[in-house]
Formats: sequence, structure tokens, C-alpha cells
Amino acid sequence: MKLLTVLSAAALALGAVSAQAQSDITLGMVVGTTGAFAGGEAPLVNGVKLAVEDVNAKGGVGGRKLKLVIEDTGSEQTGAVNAYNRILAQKPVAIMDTTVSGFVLSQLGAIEDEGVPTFTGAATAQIALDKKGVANLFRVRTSDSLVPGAATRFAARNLQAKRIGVLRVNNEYGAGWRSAIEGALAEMGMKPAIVESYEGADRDLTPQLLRIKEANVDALIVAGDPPNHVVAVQQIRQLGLNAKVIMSNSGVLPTTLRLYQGGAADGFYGTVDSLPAANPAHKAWADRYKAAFNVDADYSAAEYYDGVMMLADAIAKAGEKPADIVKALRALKDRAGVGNTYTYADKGDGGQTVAIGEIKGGRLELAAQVK
Amino acid sequence: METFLQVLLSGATMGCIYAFVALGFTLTIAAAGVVNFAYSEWVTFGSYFGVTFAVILGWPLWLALGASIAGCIAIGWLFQLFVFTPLEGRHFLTSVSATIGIALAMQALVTLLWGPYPLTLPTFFGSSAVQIGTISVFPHNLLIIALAVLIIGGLQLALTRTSIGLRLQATAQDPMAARLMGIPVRRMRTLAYCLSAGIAGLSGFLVAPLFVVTNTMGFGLMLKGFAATIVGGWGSLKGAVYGGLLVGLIEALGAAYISSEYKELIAFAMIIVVLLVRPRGLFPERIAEKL
Repeated sequence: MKLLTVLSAAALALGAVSAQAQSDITLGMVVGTTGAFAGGEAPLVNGVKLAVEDVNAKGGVGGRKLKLVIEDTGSEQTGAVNAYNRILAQKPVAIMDTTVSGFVLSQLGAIEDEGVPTFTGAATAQIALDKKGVANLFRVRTSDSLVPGAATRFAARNLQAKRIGVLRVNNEYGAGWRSAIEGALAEMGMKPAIVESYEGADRDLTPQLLRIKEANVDALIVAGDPPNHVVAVQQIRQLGLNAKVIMSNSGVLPTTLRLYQGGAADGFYGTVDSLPAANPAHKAWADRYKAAFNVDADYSAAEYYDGVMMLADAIAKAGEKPADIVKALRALKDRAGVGNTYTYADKGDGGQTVAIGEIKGGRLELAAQVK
Repeated sequence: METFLQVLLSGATMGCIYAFVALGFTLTIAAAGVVNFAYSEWVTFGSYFGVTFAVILGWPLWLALGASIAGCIAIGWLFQLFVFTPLEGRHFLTSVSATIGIALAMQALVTLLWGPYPLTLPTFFGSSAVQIGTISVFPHNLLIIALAVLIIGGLQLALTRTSIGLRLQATAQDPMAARLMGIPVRRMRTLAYCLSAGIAGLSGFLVAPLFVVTNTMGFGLMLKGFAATIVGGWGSLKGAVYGGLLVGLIEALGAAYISSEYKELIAFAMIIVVLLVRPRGLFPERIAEKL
């Protein structure tokens, strides 16, 4: 009799656990938690975790809790495709995808075929709907078709630069920046004074910077990854290059700012989609983020946070069918979030804001909001 | 002239770094015929040890340098115990595969131990540049060049003028004959692994202030070190040093005077030219014949 009671209790408990598991909504995430991009993508995971916590604290979506499942890309292209397929096997309601543009481009076939709503912070212009983008892929970021142009206009108009140079990493990201800068300059009847490139693994930019110095530029736009920016800043100071410097987004991430030694980057500028910590409206969110993860919040964490919040609203409004979620999201226009303002209606390309920050005392302060 | 000297200095600094890496990489090839592709991670661990001791624990830099080298020597000793010795006598591709696998595991371990964010290490002389004539120099770069001359010169003397160095060379050239002559081959190989790991620790610590410390920093360095090993002569310690310097200088001069866009292409095209003229590298060793 006792045995029967124990078995019944166990069966009930199992049933309860199973019912609990069934009641959860799986949210997939595909990012690099190991390899070269692990550092750059860690804020995305933080942002999503905070959003899931917030959604669940308010009772979940339609009474069901969000359950986050993460797959690692290993910071490699094939790894990104495999991770996306592995997460699909877990039947997620949506996927928060990597921010690495090349990886997202290689996943496009699977994203389109499966139709699962997918959010990405990839900035490449190629994933816009009028290019290679697909309806169920949502950019939670400002496109690279806008950011380099904003940096260029800031250099020419705000900094009054007449001779603008470009130092860019030799990959698709750097090539995108180069062509967008050239386009923005052409609109103002200008040309780059000099364009230099480097490999992502290079840790000596002396030859390139000497050529830039000889070209006598007033402003230099640097596009690359955090280690590239740190090396560039150090060597710009060493070689006495007096131009105003504007770095691409990763140069002014909170985790990059602490790598600049001895105030070397003070007075340098950087592009960001937003500065959540500097916005009084989002200060409470930024403080909560810092308390949770022991690092300052950046725009990418805020944008992935926004992605989950937009998804939760879409599910609450339209239900859990992928096509219905996509339809609800595609109706969004000027949706204000913590990290950006998003539009997906009328083939909208996601985020729209670009800000320029200036490094002062090792911290980033808002210098201009650029149209 | 000013540009040329500035580029020459930066090329020499990078060349010395590549030479350090190539030297450590070559030591295990020369002494035991082991191609250690986990060497990149030994260098990476050297940097992370440096950050741990100097930044996290706040130790003085010289002490942190010593501790980082000791930490890497411990890794080298563990490697010989658990990886190289069990694989002795197997086909060299077996040890290559094993070291690649371990390198990937070590890279993931770095993220687990130190987190995903990049880190940095201060230099002995601060972050300001000094002016020497018309060129601007980071004192840390001069330290790298000075240490390269001292250590590489010292190692060359130790290998050719001391009993232990000659025994190490004998082990490298013919282990069987060395064993018959009473040389403790296993102990000599352990010494080579530990020496190689110590150089990795030193390299990692020295490059940390110039390179940002990341879990993948060692890989790019090892690729250049590997190229230097091939161009210098497979298994040749002297070749590793000259190969490293050559790669560093060609890269810098190519980027400055031809094109930064094709910098890598220029460097590797030059290497191909060298190998066409001297297929076994600049300073081929007899040891190369057994591989």
C-alpha cells in the first residue's frame, strides 16, 4: 500500500513537472559563447536574460513563462548554421540570433524556410528587406547603411573636417563602412583623403597610420573590432596623429573603454545606436543591468532586451503561431525601446537612431544625435 | 627616412615577437619531433597569467612576469606528462591532432576561467611614447627587442657551449644514439618542453600590453610563428629567429611602401619566393630529415 502511495505521489510530481515544462514558452538564442566573438556577444545574452526575467516577473506571456535556451556558434560560420538548426529542433517560439553579419547571411536559407521569427543585431545593409532580408528576420539595430554615413556627416559638419581619412578592417564589415563613408562624402561633394586597411588579427598599424599622417587628414574614421580600436588608439597617440578620431561602435563599448590605458582615448569619438546609461528615462534600467552583470549597459544589450519585449507583446497580441507573430511585428512603427526606436511596418529595417559619443575621463558622453 | 625608421622599428618589434613564438614552437620540434599546435594557447595562457597576477592580484610586474613564466612551465610539464609522453613513437599526425584538440579545449577554458571580455596588461614603463631623434617609440617595444637579443643569444650560447645544451642537441639529432651515450633522453625532452613553455609565458606576458588579451590572441601569433618556422628552416632554432624577423619586417615594409590592403599577400608571396630558392628554408637542420 505504502509503495502504491509513493508511486502515485511520484507520478503526480512527474506530471506536475511535465505540465510545468509544457507551459513554458521556449525562446531560442544563437550566439557565440566561446571563441573570438564571445566577448562582443556577452551583452546580448545579458540583455535577453534581463528581458526574460522581466517578462516572467510580470507573469509571463498569457500566463506562460519564457524559457531561454542558448546554443553556441563557437564564433564560426558553420557553427552558426549548425547552432541555428539545433535550436530549431527545440521548437522555439522565436530566436534571438547572433549579431555577426556574415553568420546571419549564411543562416538566411534556414531562417526563411522555417519561418520562425528571428531577431538579430547584425548591422549589414544586406539583410534589409529590399536586399537579401526575409520577412521573419527582424533587425534590432541600426543598419550599417546609416551609421557610417552619420559618422561621416558628424566629421564634416560638427567637426568641420575637410580631409577625412578611413582606416578599416579588411572584411565585409570594414568594406561596408568604406563604401557607406564614400557614399556619404560623395553626397557632400567630397572624397576620402585616404583609405587604409588592416587585417583583424593585426596588432601593429604603424605603416597605415604613418600614411594617414602623411595624408594630413583632419578627421579619421576607424572601423574594426575592440582589439583593433585599442591598438589604433595607442599607436595614434604614439605617432602623434592630430586628427579627430571617430571609432565604429565596438570602440566605445563599456568593455572596450576600460582597455584604453592612461586616458589615451579621451577626446576620441565613437558611434553608438544609443547611450542607455546617459538617458535619464532609461537610467533605472541601466542601473539594474549593472547590478545584475557587473558591467555598464551598452546599446546592444538594450536592443536585444527590446527584441524580447517586442516579441512578448506580439505573442500576447497575436498568439504563438510564427506567421501571426511575424504579422504583429511587421505592423510596428516607431516603437520606442531602451536601446533604439524600431520600425518594421512598410518594409522597415528596424532601428533608426544613431548617436555620437565622446570619451571623457574614460567614459562615453553624448556628443550629438545624428540624422 | 623618418617613416622608414619608424616602420623598421615596428617591423623589428613584431619580428622579435614572431621570433619568440617560432623559437618556442621549434624547440619541441627539434627536441622531440613534436609539432605542438597548442603552443598558441600556451602563449595565451602566458598573457592571462600576467593579467591575473599583475592586474587582479596586484603583484609587481616583474614578479607577475616570473610567475607567468612559472605557470606556463607548469603547463609544459603537464603536457609532457599527459600528452607528449603517451604519444611518443606514434605517427606525428597523431600528436598534431591531439594538440589541435587540446588547443580548442584550452581556448574554451580561458573563457570559463577569465570570462568573455577582452583584458589588458600595463607595461613596465607606462603608456607614453618617448622621442628618439625623429622617431617615436614605446619603451615597451625596446624592452621586447632587448629581451629578444638577450634571450635568443643566451639560448644559442647555452645550446652550443654548455654540457646540458649539447646533450639537448644530441637528443634532438639522434635520440637512440644519445640514449646509448648515457644521455637521459626523457629528461632532456622534458627540459625542452618546459623551456618552450617558459618562452611561451614570456611571449604572452610581453605581447599582452601591445595586443589586447583575448582567448584567440595566440592563434594569429602562432600562424606567423609557424610561417617563420617554415621560412627559417623546419626544426632550426637559428632559422626560427631569422624567419620571425623576416616575416615581421616584410609585413611592415610591405604595408608602408606597397599596400596595406595586400600586406599579408606580400608577406606570404615573399615566403614562397624564399622557399622556391631554398626549399628547406634559410637555415635547414639535419633534424629536418627525420620528419
